[in-house]
Amino acid sequence: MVPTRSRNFPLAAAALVAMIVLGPGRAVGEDGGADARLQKLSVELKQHDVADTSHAATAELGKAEALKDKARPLVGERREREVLDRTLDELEATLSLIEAKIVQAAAKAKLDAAKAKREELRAELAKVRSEADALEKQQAELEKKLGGGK
Amino acid sequence: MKRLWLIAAITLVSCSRLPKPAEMQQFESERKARDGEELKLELPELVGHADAEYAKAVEAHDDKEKELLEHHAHLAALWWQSAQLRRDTREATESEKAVAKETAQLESELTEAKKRQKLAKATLDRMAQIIALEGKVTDSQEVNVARGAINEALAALKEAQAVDADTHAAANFAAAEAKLKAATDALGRGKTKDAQSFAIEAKAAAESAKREAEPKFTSTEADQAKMARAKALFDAVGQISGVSRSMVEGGVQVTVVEAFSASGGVDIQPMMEATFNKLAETAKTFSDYALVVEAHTDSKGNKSKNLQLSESRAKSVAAFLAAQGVAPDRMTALGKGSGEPVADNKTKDGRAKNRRIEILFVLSSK
Repeated sequence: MVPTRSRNFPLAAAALVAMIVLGPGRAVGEDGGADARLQKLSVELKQHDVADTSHAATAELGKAEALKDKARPLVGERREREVLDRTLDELEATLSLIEAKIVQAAAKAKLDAAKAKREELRAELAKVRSEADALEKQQAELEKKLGGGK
Repeated sequence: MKRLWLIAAITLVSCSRLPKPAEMQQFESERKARDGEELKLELPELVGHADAEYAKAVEAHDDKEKELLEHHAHLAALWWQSAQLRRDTREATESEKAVAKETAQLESELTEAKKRQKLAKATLDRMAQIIALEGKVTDSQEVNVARGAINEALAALKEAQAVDADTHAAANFAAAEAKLKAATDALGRGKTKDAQSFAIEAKAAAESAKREAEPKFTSTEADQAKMARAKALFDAVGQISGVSRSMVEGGVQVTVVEAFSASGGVDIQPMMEATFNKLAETAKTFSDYALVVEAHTDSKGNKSKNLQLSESRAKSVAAFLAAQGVAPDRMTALGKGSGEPVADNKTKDGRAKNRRIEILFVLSSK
């Protein structure tokens, strides 16, 4: 049996009344959670922005800013709830990537500096060793000469 | 007939699968590789996120939900990339440690090479003075005797300098050098007796300088080695979160506050287990150190009960470390009660600081 307009009417009317009474798209508990999540992720984004002194994640920071801006007006829009959740999920994953990039860049810079110091020392050691070898060789020759005079 | 065509077309459309996004395909191939499984073991949380998003992408793919498919495939790729970068970071940190170790070795070799260079140069300079006399003095038995004495003094000076007598016994060493110069000058003037006499004095002064310098030289070398070892331990402890550290006479002290589950409890709280696991690893790496495990309490409650509690806590920590493979005979567990506070017991923060475990790593004399 095909449902008729008249059969659906009480349900639609109840929904309409609820919308008028409660206001459009405000589900306090749920949106409070999304709002708090957005706040938390925004703080995290700011921290990463400050921490990225080596510009390791510039592109991702831009994307995260755009996601944050996209999410902000969606908070409180019940109909956009799914889009908001997806946007926040993407923002969270992007922030994880940003943090990983910043930490990786710092570790790499530290490694590069350590390698540079090692190479510098290697070069100096080779130079000092070769000078010491030459001096010791000279010394051995002179020792022979002096010994011969005994 | 038209209807049949329509049904066939609808069936075809509904049966055709959505193409998988490139990100999804790449994730699949990397995740399936052995490397992917290893990454999962290494970074379960990040790879777990990636797997969960991938599962949703597969579902969306089956349901032919293009937008959802792309969204979840992208998220899976983002989490996966994070995990890979974290692994790269760990590898870079490990490499950096290895490079730092090599650098420390090179530094020690360089110090040694510089010492060789300095010694050879100084000896050559002294020899040059003697060589300069060649041709000025005619060979005779007396000259040869003087020369012999000068050569002996020269060898004694070389040996003295090898133990850093020029630094540790500066006065005696300078005297030896002055006498050697006087000896060569005297020989140059043909005063062979004086030359021999100065050379003998030079040799005696050089030997005396060597005797004076030797103990200092040995202890300096040992001290430097001890210091380098303590510094390496200090750096290793610095990698452990949840501890504070300080260099103290004889070793390194590590402090862990609020390590126990409950007031009056003796079990290490679960969130601190990782810290003690890492401390155990460090203790195993630095097996040349003995460990003194001291537990301290705040001043609340009965003094003798606090003392008993601290003893039990010290033993609990030692037992935990032993269970992780630290040899029990390297450890001494001591309860200190509330008698050695480091902060004000009148405040909550102060009491928290006083409830602590101190582990003193002392270079073992065994």
